[in-house]
Amino acid sequence: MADDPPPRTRTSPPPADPAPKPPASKDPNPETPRSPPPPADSESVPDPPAKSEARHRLIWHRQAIDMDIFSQILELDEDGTYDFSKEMVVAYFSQATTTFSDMDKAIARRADEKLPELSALGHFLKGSSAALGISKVQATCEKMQHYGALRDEAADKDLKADEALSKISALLVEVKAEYADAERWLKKWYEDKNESFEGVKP
Amino acid sequence: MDERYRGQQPLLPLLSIAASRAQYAPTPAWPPSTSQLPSLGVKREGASPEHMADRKEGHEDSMSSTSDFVKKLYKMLEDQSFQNVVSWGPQGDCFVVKDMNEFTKSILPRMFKHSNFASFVRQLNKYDFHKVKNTDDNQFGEQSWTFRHPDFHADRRDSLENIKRKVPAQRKSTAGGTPLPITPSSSYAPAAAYPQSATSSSYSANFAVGSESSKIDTMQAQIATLQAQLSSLGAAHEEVLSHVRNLERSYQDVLVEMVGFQRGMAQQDGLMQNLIQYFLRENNGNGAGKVKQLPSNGGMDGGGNPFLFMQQQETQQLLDKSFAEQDVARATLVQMSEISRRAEAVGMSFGGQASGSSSGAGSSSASNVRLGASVGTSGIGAAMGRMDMLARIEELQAQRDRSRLNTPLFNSSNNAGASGSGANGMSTNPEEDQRRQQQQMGAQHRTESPESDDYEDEMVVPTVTNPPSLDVALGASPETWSMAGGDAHAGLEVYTIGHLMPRGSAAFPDAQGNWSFDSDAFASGMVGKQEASYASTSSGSGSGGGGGSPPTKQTLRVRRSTFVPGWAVPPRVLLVDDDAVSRKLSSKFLQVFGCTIDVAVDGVGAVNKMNLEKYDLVLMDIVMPKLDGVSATSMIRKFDPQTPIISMTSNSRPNEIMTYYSSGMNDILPKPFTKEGLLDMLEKHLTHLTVIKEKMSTSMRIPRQPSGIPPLNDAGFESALQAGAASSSGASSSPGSTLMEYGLGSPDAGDGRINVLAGMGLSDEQYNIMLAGIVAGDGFNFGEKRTRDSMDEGDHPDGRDGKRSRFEVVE
Repeated sequence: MADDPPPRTRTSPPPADPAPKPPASKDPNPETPRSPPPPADSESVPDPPAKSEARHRLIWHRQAIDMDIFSQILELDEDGTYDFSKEMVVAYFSQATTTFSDMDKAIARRADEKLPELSALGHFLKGSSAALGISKVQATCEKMQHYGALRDEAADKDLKADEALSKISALLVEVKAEYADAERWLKKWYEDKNESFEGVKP
Repeated sequence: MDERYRGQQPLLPLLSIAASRAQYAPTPAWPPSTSQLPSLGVKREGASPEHMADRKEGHEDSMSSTSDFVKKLYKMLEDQSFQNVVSWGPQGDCFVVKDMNEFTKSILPRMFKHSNFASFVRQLNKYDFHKVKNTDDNQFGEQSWTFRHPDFHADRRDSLENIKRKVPAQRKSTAGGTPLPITPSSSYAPAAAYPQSATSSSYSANFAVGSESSKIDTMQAQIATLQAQLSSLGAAHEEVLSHVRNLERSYQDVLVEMVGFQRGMAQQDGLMQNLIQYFLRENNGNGAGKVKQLPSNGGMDGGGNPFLFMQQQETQQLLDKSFAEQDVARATLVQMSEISRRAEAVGMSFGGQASGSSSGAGSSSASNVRLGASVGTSGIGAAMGRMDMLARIEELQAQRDRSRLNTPLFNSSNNAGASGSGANGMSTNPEEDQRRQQQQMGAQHRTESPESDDYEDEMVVPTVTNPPSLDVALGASPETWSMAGGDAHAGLEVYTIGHLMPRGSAAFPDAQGNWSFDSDAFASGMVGKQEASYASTSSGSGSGGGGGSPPTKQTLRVRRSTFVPGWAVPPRVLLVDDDAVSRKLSSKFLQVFGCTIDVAVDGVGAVNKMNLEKYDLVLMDIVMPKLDGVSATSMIRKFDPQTPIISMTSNSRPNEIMTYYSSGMNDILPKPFTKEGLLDMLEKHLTHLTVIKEKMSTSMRIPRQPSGIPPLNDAGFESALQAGAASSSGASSSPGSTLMEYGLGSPDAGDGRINVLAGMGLSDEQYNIMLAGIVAGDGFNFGEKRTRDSMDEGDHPDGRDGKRSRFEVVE
């Protein structure tokens, strides 16, 4: 019986749960004077930013945050509180920051050490990002993991070391930007709930 | 001769240097060679005296080429003082040992340095002397031995040198061969040492005798024999070794078979549990069927059946398949409306019936209709309960003690009144209707004094309480809730929670089916106890119910709780992950699923923990510092072939998956995993832990909410679970009211209860003990829980409110 495939698709956000706000309805807060997240990726929306900042944000967020996964974490919160999810988020923030600094250090290391190291770090951050549903960071980290292993999965070919390194250098900038967006989005999300990160230990 | 020998000893060193004459050359050679022999070899010489003698001969006689032994023999026969013991034969061609005993005692020691006649004879044989059979000319008596050698004549001294030892091979085979058969391995060293001494002695002899070529031949022959012996020994050794290896191999085979056996046993276990589960389900189904088949299906049927139906067909399915909350919530809503619809219908019809059967019922039916299902059902239930319950009781509890049932009338009516008021509180009946109904019921009870009526009354009690539970379920109608009287509806609320409990619902049909018996037995208990239980009920619900309907609840919600399988024992899960975020998330999920969690941050930690502790399941990340998950798994598998290890990985290409499986992992849980995915995994690999739980709680009729529902983030939960251990874990986190009521009710009801576990080989006594154990466990947990709650610095001052409210129905 446990083997039966759950007939439910994960894509429907739990309507019974008021805690996680449906992303589509809640997120575009027009009154927030937040600058649109820099479109770090190639498929950034061509809309004029001035006109549809909210929409841009929405689109960005759709790509960047997997709300299914994020709301799954929110479900773990006690009613009316966000303690657990905040802890998760703060832990993620600190882990990401540490990992980025590790990546910076790794880039400066000897050539034969840095690629495996970067691959491992990419894998590591990929995992944490995936756990929270920060999909964009997750995807970029996965790329880094593969580049570090001298492999371009998208192009399905092996890379040379210097090739991989230059790709990773670009990725590092990219992933940091993506992470910054995600962090901003998450912080905003909690702000909207009147939740602060003060005193939350990761 | 002795003197000569002794006198020689001090001279030996000198001689060894000085004596270069052939005659004495061997003499100096001998002692050093002996002294150089390994101790074993020396010992060996002492053990075989004939060799000593043999060797001494070499330097005792001056006759150059004649063997020492023969010379000594000849000398002995020349000695006239021995004449009476040993002498030449009459013809001088043989010699006769006339008195063997005397010869052995006096002559052998003097001449040959030993006192072993057999050795002497052997020695003679070696020199080709033959014993002459004592025939007609036996002039020396029975004890005489006559030996003859063709070249051994009293008067032919020169021919003595023709008397030689037979081929040494023969001698070797006897000398070296004797120890061999006994214990090959132990004789190996001595045998190896022996040749040296033998060689040296024969060497010296050869030197002395001078017939070198023949001696060399014999030596070579000896060497050959020795080599043969060596090789045979080696072969024997090899044989022993291979035998040992064989033994080792078969031992390993046995071990492997044992492991296989264990696996088989585990599988069998799993199968048995599945079967049990199946039969339990079957049982539940039967229970429902039985109720249905009863000719007069009273309130019980009307109330319970739809519930059962819904439960089995929808809720359970939904839950088993790990549906999301909202689905369950929706289903519950549907279910509730269905129930209310049915209850209403039932209420109507029963109202009619009840009015027919009792005078008071008319009004109650009226109120029922007006008020909706709740009170109607209860009133009717009370009315109808008689037939229905009686039938059931007779059917199921034929052996039950009557006196037990026939408790004081007052008692049961009291109870009925209480529960009636409870129903009222629930359903928000107008006070008058309520009171009237109550009075009617009371009157009914009091007027009907005969035994059978008492019986019925008792039956009524449960029926009355039963519907309220439905009411609560139906309670979807909002006003009931807010208006509900605090202490009366408290106990009822508990039931409600039980019903709404999604996981618990799996067990519910049974609980529902048997419920009447519980309360029945309960009712038959002491009044004081009832009151006590009621008091506790109300107090429990005072906090629970009071806080349970806070204004915040605007929707019918069944939160996360829902999917938790009921564990018999909280599964011990080892979580191995280096990523703090993932670890936190997985831990939380596991916690929600009622698992006890231990954490390792890398493969080394995992292996160490596995070495120290026993876990039910391991969740293993793959990419980790120090030691990756695959290596850690293969290391763990060396000492723990059983514990399921599940890899959590984001790398799931086919070849990687192959690696995981070949390292000994049991399953793959792709990362990032979902709650459902994780739960599926747990259920798949920990079936043995769920089934028991289901069985237990089913049989105990403890509302399932407890373990399932996630009070879960309070610290107390885990410890409560642990403290509650297997059986009581179910109740550990359930509201105190439930605990108290069931706890107090069950022991009293002991013999009144149906031993649901009877089918599983549990005797009634065991069953009761188990129940008692649960009561004890509950009490403990309850207390602990409260303190924990109060200590909890969480956002809810009273943690239970928050938890409870999750299952309350508010619109």
